[in-house]
Amino acid sequence: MMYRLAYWAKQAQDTKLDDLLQHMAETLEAESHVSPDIKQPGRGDQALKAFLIRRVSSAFWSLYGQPLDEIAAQITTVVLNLETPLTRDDVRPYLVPPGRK
Amino acid sequence: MAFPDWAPAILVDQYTRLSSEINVRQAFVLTDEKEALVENLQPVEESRLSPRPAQLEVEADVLFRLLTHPDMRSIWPALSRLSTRLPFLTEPISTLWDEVKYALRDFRILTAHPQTPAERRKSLLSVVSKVKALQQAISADPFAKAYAKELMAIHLTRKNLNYRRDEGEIPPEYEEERICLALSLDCIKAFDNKEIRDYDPENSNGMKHR
Repeated sequence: MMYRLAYWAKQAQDTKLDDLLQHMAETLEAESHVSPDIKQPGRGDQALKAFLIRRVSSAFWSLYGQPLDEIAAQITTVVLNLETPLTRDDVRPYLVPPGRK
Repeated sequence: MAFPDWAPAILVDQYTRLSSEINVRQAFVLTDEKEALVENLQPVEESRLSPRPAQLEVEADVLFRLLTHPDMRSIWPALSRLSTRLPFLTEPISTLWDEVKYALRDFRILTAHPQTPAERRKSLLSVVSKVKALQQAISADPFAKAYAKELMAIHLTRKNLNYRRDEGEIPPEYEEERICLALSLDCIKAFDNKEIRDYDPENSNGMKHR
């Protein structure tokens, strides 16, 4: 425990404000080149379905190494409490293959 | 509240805790006047780690549906089977719920201040240029440069001292500035102390085997 606390204290001591600012500048600059998750934010909740499908699908790729489209469709349906259940065919148009922006 | 036996236990536990948090918040409803006063004293901006109370209620409703909707009956066992192939992840299902929860929070935050893609890019690059200007300004001033080097340690130590003072561990009359750096340096010395570094409480001798 002491070792862990001392480790964090040392890392804090070694972290300069300049490191944090550099980190922030690089992250924001990289983010400025990325297409936003919500392309038409003014559409409000209409955009939520596409946003959620992408995030759930992305989580499946990260966790299980596969998109699990059918399950992504069902989870999105339940989360948003949709009257008409989504199918895998409804989900696929919103997805971008991994590695492509 | 009894949930179906196919509902993942870890998410049932999270729902129970979330409901308790909402109930506690509702039990301490502040008057408008007091709420305004509290907000003036401690302005807390909504973020993905500090959701508004109303957002927690939305999340509780969503989680309840995920734990009870008949369509989820086959989904959770299927995901549990897939999860057993991932021994390096402790709770993939909990991670999945976190993703859903944070997606809902992110969407709310992103749509609260709508930006077109061009506006977003322009705004981000504007911040980048100001951050770079700040870096240059700091490096041009000797005191600012020296202080910026230790700022992280001093800031964290001060927060730690405030916490310990609030908990009653440190007498309130202690001046934080005076002992701030001293305590910080103590921790560094402890890190460099071989006996402390090698201390292993799980070993019967208290020291690591060589």
